Amino acid sequence: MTTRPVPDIIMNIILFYILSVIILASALLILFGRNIIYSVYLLVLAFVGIAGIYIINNAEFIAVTQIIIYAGGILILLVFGVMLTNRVSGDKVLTGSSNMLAALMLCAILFIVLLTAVLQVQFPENPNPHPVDSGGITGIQGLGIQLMTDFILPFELAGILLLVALIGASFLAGKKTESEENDTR
Amino acid sequence: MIPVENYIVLSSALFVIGLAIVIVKKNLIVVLMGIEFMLNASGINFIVFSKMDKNIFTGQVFTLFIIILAAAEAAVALAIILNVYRHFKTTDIDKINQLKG
Repeated sequence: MTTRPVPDIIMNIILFYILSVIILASALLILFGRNIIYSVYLLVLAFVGIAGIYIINNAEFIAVTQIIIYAGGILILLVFGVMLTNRVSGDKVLTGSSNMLAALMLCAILFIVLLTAVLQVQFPENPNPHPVDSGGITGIQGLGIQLMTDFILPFELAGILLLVALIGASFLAGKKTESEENDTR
Repeated sequence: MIPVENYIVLSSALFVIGLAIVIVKKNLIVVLMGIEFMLNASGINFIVFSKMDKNIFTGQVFTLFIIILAAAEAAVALAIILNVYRHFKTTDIDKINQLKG
């Protein structure tokens, strides 16, 4: 790995800590909060923070894809879902929580188990000692070449899966129940 | 540079918080948000470990597929949630406790 100037490394470390604080704080606020609309906005913040972490790790295309698909697609779907499944009145949309203590204990234990299992591995200091010589092609060009040569089968299958999901979701959401059919007659 | 252990702690914490959201929350849409958190946590892991692999793009391609699958799953899940709401007239999970027949 080529050496990088020191201010670069310091900026990476500072950005990592800021972004991880943003992501974990928004996740915790969704967990302990009650307002659904606030939760949706905090989810946007978390996704943008995760995109920032992707950028730190030299995955710019994935970061932009994350922002486009998650913050621009899935979140709009979630907002539609929130608006369509609550009666429109002047009140705030609140939700409660149940079994908080048991869930927190379970998740803390799972967290400790995961960390003790994974942190026993000695990760090598010099990552990637024998890299595949990609001929200096990095970034989005290299990703595109990989997607079209080594990973062409999952790529096509993902296209088919998206078609199936599209047809299925539009059929499922467009079905009318019996009472609605009687209303429209 | 940043050691890999920091990223592992971050993604584990995010995964566990997402799991807590799925267990605790009573609204169906917020449960879907928790599932998205879990998927993103595994995505972070893939991106971070892709730099240590022989082929530096394997993790990135996998994360791309994770994002694609999360989008498809969110669309279908929301269609199902809409149908459940039409039938039960509520999105409180505790009240949705009867199957047909």
